[in-house]
Amino acid sequence: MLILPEIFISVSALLLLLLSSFYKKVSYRDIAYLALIIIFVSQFFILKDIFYFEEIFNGFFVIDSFSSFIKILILIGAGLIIYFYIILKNPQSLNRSEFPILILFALVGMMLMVSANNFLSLFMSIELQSLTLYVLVSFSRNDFNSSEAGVKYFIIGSLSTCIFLFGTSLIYGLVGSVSFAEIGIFMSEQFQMPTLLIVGLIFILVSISLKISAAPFHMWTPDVYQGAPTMVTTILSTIPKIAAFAVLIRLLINPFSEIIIDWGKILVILSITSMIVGSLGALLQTDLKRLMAYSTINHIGFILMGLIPGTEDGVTAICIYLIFYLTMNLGVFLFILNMNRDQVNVSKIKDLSGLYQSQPLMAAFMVILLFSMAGIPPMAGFIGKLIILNLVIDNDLYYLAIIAVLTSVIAAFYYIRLIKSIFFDQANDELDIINNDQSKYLLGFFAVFNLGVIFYPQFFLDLCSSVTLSLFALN
Amino acid sequence: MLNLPILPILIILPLIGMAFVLLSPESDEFAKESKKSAIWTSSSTFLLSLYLPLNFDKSIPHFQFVNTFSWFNSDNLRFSLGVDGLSMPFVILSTFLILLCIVFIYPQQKKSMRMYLCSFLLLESFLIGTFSAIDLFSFYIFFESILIPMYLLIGFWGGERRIYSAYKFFLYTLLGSVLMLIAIIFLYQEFGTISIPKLLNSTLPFYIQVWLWLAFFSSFAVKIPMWPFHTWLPDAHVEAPTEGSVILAGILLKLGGYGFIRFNLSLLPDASIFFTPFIYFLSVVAIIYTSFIALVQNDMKKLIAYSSVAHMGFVTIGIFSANIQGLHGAVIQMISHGLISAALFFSIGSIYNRYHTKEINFYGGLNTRLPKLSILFLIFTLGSIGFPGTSGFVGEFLTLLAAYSKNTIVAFISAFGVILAASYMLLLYKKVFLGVTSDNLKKKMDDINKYEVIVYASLVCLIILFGIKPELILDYTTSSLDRITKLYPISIF
Repeated sequence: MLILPEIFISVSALLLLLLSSFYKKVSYRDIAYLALIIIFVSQFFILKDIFYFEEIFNGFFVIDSFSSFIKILILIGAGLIIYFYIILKNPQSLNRSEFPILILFALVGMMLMVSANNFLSLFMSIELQSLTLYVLVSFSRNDFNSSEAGVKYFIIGSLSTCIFLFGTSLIYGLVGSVSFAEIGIFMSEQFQMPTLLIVGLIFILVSISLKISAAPFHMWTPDVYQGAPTMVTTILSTIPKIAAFAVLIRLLINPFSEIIIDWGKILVILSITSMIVGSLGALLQTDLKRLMAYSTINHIGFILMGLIPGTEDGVTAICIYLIFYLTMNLGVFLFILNMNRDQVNVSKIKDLSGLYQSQPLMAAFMVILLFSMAGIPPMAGFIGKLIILNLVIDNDLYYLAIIAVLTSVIAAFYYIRLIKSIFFDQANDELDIINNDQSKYLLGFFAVFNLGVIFYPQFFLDLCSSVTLSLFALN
Repeated sequence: MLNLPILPILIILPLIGMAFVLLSPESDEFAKESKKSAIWTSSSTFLLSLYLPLNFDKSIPHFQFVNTFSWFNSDNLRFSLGVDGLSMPFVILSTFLILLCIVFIYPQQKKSMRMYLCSFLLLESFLIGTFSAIDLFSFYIFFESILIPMYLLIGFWGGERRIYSAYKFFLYTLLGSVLMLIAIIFLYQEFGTISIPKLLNSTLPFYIQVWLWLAFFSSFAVKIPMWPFHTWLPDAHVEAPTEGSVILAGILLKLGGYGFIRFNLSLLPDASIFFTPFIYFLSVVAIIYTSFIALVQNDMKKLIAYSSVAHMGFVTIGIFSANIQGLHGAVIQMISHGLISAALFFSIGSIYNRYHTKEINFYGGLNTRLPKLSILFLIFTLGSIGFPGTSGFVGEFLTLLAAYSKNTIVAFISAFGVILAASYMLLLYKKVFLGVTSDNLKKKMDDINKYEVIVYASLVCLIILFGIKPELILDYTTSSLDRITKLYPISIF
């Protein structure tokens, strides 16, 4: 039963739904605890079979170590977010038992996405994930901003779906199959690639770019990030991105590896524009959540560079970067979630000012995370960037490397602007002191993790290179 | 001889001291406990660092005290530390100046004293790491990490425009060094190794060398700084706290010169020859142009900052003359500038602590108020001018000698820099210390205290000692520098 974790999560999510609606005594917090346990248990199902390789349901899905690894990463991220949800004092509108259940459904969608080996199953799982995320974004239904963000996200999401379906239909019309394996066989038999295939792939790439918010398909990101409840922004900026990246990797490496020359160029454009937009766009932002949106775009551009060579090392580098990206982003968002003034959640950059005076330890943790995001050694972010740059230069893409480092200098500007606010500015009105021990420890954990990676980066390299092997087993 | 892993110990010791500083009680106002731990840490680091010259084999040009740690599991990516004759003096200079800074801080009172001390200890650790790294990645990691404590030092404890200056410092240096990162990765890809000793034996085609040279140049030219990349320096100096300026001028600028010798000159000799006229041009402009700018400054720190740019011009001329006198001159000039500019910034700090302004016009006839300091300042001024008998003279003389053997015109023009240095430094001395006592200085102030005496006395001793007996440094550096010049191709310039 290799698909057991997905079945387990979906069945238990349905049970939780029943439980929450029929037993009014069960509070949203209990449901969240149960969800946490479900996530925790399902990780063991995955870990048990992590080095298996099997196609199931007639090649509808594939279970391999790459998908298992990404699933574990997603589950860890989701588990931490649900834990944030439990330990923090959330706005009243989020305190409903549907919230953790929806996260579970989104999780099922993402896990299926990662395993999908067929355009049909891919489409189905992307839709499952997106639909739950639309609901989550507009979860604060009395809040105007949240609803607006939900509508925006929904419109962009359905556009992305249309484009995806159109691309798929083109490819189906040409190949006569939606299975990745058969598309791969079809392509290896072609003497000259039909243009239609490339056009179809471009449509699919555009659709996935909308999901991972790679520029120039990033427009929705800042608005949705800002409008959505911060808890949901935390989700949006981490796990769906990882899942969509896994889809992109599988799609490009497995069936479409024959036309690497074509999609390589597209990825170059996507990554350059993302890095430029992500670094320049953030310069004038005043809202932390908007700034994090641009920071995400910038990171996405950086990660996309790793995929351009289409090699095993590239995917390894991406996996490592994704691990670091997850920890950095979760750390920063955990802090943003904790930013309250007089019990009201705030997220402006100037709210950070004077943090060092009131809470020196939190300020220190935050500074480590921000320097890590900026890619300043000796933090983890630097190691991630180093590995990707190493790969890019190995493939003689010097211009890309130069653009990457120059944009990362611009990006460093807005990270150190935050550090400036934290350390150098005087506070007019201080933030509430974080009196939540769990978030303090967690923030400390993220900071220490980012600081400690430099001592043993080999661990991550070994881990990721062992899981990416499976992707290349077929070719 | 004990086989002590001395360099890792030197790097870790300040970090342990940092923990003690952080753990000491915050309650008392002067943060006495944390200052004591900082003094203990930095003095023991300094004393331990003396282990290096005592056990150093002067005849070996290669790296000594080598320690290697596995980092990434491949054989080629290792974290290795070691010193040779070139880097060893800088390690000692770093530990020495940090110790002086902490002694200088001791009687003072500042906001967030514990963090201030921690920044210095962190800096010390990173600086030792940078100078003793013998593989490219660990060099880069330490080199970049220095930005973090320095950014905080300028931004948190600086003057009025501190935030602007901190930004400028951070972004300028980051912009320079990211290009170096690409060059480093390229070298790794090309040779499959990042160890500097192994890279020294490899040769690259000329057109690749040129690009790599420019990438390294962008980093070190900003750091040292050369004209026209120097504009961050006056801002950073003016706004940084006294001790921050001392470290900035005393050690951080030397990273640029050290990098030029270690990377541009040793690894990329053909490109170095190609770019020598370019370097000569920039250096001569730096010497003359910044000296003229220094003449008209009204801020003492800014004046010294511009003079630093001019002095570093001599260093780059010396380095790219690439003969043994030039390299010796450059190293001596860097060490002596490290001591003299540190001493000048300390003195300006002492004056500032008493009168709370750095404006030259505010002062006049300060010798009647602070007689002891005015004598010390005169010695440092003479050192900065390059007066015979001080270490400044040796450096300037050797670099000019080297330049003369390569290019007479460069030597001729840059010699004017010595005269200009004399004019702006003596003008500064005259305006501040001599003449009628200014009305602003009515208030009687205490002359230097005992902590300042320690700082100034040790600096004066060293400046004069190295002026009379530069062999003390040169003996150590000769064999390593000899090796570089022997590997260097003969140039036509």
